[in-house]
Amino acid sequence: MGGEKGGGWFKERFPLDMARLRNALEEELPEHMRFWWFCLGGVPLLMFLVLVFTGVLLATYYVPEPGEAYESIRKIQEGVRYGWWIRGVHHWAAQFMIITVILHSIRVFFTSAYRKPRELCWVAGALLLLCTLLMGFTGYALTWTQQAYWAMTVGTNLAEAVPLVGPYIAYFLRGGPTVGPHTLTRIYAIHTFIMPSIIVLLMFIHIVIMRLHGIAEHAAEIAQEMVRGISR
Amino acid sequence: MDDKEKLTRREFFLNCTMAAGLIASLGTAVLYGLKFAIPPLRRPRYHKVYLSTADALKPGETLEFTDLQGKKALLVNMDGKFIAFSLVCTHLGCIVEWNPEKREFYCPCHQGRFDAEGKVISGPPPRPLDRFEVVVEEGLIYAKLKEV
Repeated sequence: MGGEKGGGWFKERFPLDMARLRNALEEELPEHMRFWWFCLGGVPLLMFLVLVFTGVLLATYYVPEPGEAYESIRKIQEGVRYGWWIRGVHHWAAQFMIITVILHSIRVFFTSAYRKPRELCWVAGALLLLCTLLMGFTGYALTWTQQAYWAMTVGTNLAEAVPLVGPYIAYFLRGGPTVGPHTLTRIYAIHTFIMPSIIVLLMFIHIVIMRLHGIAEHAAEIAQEMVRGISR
Repeated sequence: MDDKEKLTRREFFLNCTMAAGLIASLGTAVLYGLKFAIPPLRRPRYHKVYLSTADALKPGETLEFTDLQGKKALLVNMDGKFIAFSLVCTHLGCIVEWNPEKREFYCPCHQGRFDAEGKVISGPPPRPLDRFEVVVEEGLIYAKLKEV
């Protein structure tokens, strides 16, 4: 790399236009965005990143096997250094993600930000809400306590009640006719691999549509009303 | 950005606070994450715990004690040789019983049986009973118990 100027070698091979990037980051936001309830969509994203970070760490000690699952979590809590902290952050970030996703959807609903032409963004968001709840459910079951076992039994029974395809879905989720060892490995795969992948994909779609449309005018109008109301 | 606008005092302190918060939170996460992922380098420590005098335990006699986790254990004088067994069954953690006549351990939960060496004779246990290292010094018996 000898004689080339600082970053020249890399810049040539990774032709990123810093000026354009800075431009995109310094985009001006409408006035109403200074109210925190208009920015709630970013919080679940942040929580998701926290959950991925702590979740990957937890997966290094967790054993998805009925005899070992609870014991390995006890070991994380009591034996591994800062295990209680990592698991605690994972737990509370999960709670907080569910709460903020719901608050975000309430905000979008009541400011009519879902209206034409943003329906697809709303649909992706609704799917994300569903995925988040499923993540909560499967994560809850991974502890494999009595509560988790019966939650899984009730949950798969609910799936079974779906007309026509219900029994097949339930059979697939349980990995057999009843809740057993294969159910645990299945929810482990769903919780750590399948759902996160789907969530990343949906988040990508959700954010791309949002960026393409810009921030909803309906919302902006309502926000203006709010601003006037507050400043009066 | 580039027209060198002067930072006001207020903005400067705001930036400092933001940066401090970011460093503190990310630093904590990275530090704790690394500590979590890397197992402690030091080897587990053992404590030498006094159990009995060698004279007090005749051949065939036993002495019950607990390890540092509070789980039951048994010191047996096996024909002059002192062996300390953990009484926790290796199958599902029930407490096994020593039968001096048959000279074997018996687990009441799933009929697991272990011989006088702690090896599995029959039943579901996957491995022999755990044993503690026994040290006899100047007529005193000690067991080396793992720190919790």
